[in-house]
Amino acid sequence: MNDLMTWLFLAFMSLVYVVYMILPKKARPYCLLVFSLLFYVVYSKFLTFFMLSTILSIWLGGLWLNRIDDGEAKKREGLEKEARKALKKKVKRQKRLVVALIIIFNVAILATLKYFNFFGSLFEGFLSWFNLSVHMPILKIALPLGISYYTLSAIGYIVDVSQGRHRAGNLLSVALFISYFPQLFEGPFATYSTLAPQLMAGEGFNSQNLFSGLSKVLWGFFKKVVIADRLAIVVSAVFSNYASYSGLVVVLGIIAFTFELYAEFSGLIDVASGISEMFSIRLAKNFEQPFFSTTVSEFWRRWHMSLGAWFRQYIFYPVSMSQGMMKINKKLAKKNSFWQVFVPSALALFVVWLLNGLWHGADIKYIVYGMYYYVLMMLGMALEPLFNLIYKKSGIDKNSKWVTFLKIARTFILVNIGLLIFRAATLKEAANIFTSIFQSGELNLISLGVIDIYDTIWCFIGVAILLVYDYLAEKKKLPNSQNWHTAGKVAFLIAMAVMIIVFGAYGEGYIPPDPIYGGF
Amino acid sequence: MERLLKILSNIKPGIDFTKEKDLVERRILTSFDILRLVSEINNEFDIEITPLHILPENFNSAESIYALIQKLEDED
Amino acid sequence: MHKARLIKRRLLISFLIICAIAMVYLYLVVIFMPKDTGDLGGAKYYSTQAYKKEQKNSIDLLFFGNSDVYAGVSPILMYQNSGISSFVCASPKETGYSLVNYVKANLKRQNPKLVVLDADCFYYKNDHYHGFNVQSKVMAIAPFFYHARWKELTISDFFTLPTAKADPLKGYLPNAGTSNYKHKDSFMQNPNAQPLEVEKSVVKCLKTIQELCKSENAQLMFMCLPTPFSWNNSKSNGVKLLAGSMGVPFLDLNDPSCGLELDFNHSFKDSGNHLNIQGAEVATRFLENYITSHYSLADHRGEEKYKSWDEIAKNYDYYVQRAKQ
Repeated sequence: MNDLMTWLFLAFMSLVYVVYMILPKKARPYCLLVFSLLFYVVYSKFLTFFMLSTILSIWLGGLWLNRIDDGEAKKREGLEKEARKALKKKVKRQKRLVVALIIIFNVAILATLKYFNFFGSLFEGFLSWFNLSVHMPILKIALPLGISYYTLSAIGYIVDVSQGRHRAGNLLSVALFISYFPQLFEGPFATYSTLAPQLMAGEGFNSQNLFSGLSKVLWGFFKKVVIADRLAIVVSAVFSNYASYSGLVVVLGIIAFTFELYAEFSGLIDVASGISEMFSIRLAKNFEQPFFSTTVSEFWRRWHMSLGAWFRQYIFYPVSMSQGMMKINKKLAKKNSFWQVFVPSALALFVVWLLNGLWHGADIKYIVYGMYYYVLMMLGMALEPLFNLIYKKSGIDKNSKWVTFLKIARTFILVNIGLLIFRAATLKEAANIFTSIFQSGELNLISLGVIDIYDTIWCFIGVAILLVYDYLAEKKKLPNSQNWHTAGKVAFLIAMAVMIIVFGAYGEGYIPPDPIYGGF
Repeated sequence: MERLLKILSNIKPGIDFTKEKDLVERRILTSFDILRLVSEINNEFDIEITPLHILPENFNSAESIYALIQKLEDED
Repeated sequence: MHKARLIKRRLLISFLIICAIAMVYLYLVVIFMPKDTGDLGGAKYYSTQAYKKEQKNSIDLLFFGNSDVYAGVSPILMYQNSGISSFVCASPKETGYSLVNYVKANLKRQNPKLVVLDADCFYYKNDHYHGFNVQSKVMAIAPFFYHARWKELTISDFFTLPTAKADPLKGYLPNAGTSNYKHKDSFMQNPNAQPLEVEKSVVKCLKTIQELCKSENAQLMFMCLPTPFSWNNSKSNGVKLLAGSMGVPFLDLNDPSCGLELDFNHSFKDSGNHLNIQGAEVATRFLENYITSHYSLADHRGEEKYKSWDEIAKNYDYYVQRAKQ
């Protein structure tokens, strides 16, 4: 995002806010929808068509499902128990068909636009095994903004309606749920039942929310512009020129990427959440001090939480509790419940991680990324009884501070390796970079002119700020700024803005990095 | 309720489920634990908990889990 | 609280907040504006303001044009050799309107014998936005544009106002370094190329400048410094035609027949766009020769009025080191 776009966005935001607050309550959802669509059309132009198709498909699908349900309720009344059961079964199958249709429609759009070239190259590779050469055409089309996000949200909506979690929404609420602009860039994901009512409520001016929202927005920008974009200097130097570096510098580069990603991703989420908060809309939390995790499983419950929640709700539980799995369960019923659910959950988890990897990008390396975590988690689960035995026998308290600290360090290292795969251009490169760690190299980035001493110091300060903030958040000791006097609040906001303007890593001498989670 | 508490302490020993709240939010019960829980509850109480019912609200405390069980027992 | 009073209170608070933000912003402008040519961005900024600080009626030769000119002409070098007092008043993205405004502003303070315009900018789009002195507009966005100065701020930055300063190098901005630019053999090998017409609004501006010069008894001349990046035979012929119709001499240093001995492969800091220090030296000497043989400009070396010029000429290398980009 260059400077002009940033300014345009800020101007746009201010306009939306003022217009929204001036309008009467009933008009506010329409205001949000109009601005969201306007924003989308300007950003994605004719690709807006795809998002509109998604909205239409789930709106109509929702209405259809409700019709089937209402029809069943009517018919139920005059029937006996046996007939009721049969009707229920029939209706269930009907609804499944509708949902499947709509999901396939939307996934097909996503698959074609995002994954066509990837699957095409896989297909080519597959056929070449049989000495068949096929040249797959390459699709050169940009992605509609946020398609990976809103497609999953749409699937969530239609599944929820079919399962009866809530009734189908009207066109306004469905359209608003999908197109609501702050969440299009990096999320967070939301369920219809938690977000739609807020979007439709049209809450008015609330000075407390204005302050907390603005604070969050500025804090998010601070993380992105001052910390993440600055770390990007080091990260892009090490990764784009990895052949020139080895030893400690590479380790620092990888760690820098981990914090760059965290600062940028959580920063932009904070901006989206902060903007929403200004409108008294609460978005889901997406991060909960992820680097304090003691296991990789815990990490993924604290990182990109809304994505994890989506996978849990719509893939993990449905797959692991599906009919097929239940049959396997019955077979294993004799053994203890741990092993009883091990197979279904292992299978479900495999699907989750395959999709998770694939969702992050249309490339083999992302699948490997997903599988890397899958293997780690499976190992962790399978070895848990063994570890418990070791703790028992050796008398070490597994909740002691030392053990916890070691676990956190171990998890941090594993996460960094995962992110190395994520960031490197190819798997081969990732492997090369990894091996270069063990070669001696004392290249000093400062003396090479990659980064000067001032920016280096700021990199360390930035990471420290992130860790201190997270530590306070973990211990629930963050100061409550709502108690401050208005002058204090204004001074705080101005101070934050000044920090961003002065210390931001933009302009001459700073490279503009592309947002990492943004091309989705 | 007794049976439920027994199942819970079998899956996660050492936690006092009569007192603890926010079991899901505080990650006391992981998704894996919930799977085991659901599997045992389904067997013990002869009900069918589906993914639809797996919401944080329903599993955040022993009371809310029991309420869910009772609701499902009444349904059939 | 009564609704009217609530709205009044809110308006008052909003007003105070806006005032606070404005004051903070203005103070940030003061802090971050470069105060000296040695500061980050200072050289470029002060070189476009520096003409305001030159002693009145001390400049005999004025150069105007785009960034090629402040990269390629060194007045002090010329003064060292022949005592001619010249000044470079050029800015990046110079437009026709900018030329007029800069010439006007300078002629108010100086009475030069010769005014030289570099023709490369004749072919820029002539709009008012990029007009006169974009650098002065930079002050409005100083906290953003110069924010990287946080690394070099001193105590005095917090209470010194940025004011125009005299530029010891008289508008010259030296470019260190050489790129591995490879000069094309095909450059300027097409002398019969169709002339590219200069845009009407630019011609109008040039005629205005011609009038101004006449009224101040200054001679006018066009030149084009070596800039293979943006120059070609069509443009050269276009300016030749225009200069001919206006009765103005035109010296094109890109033209192989002009006699300039420049190592095109090593004289640019970028891909044939801006001359570096070595290239500027050669170009300046060449211009000096041409001007001294076609015009009579005084030799001011040793004069009382030009004592400061002698000082600077003595320490020329120091000033170049300090200002080089």
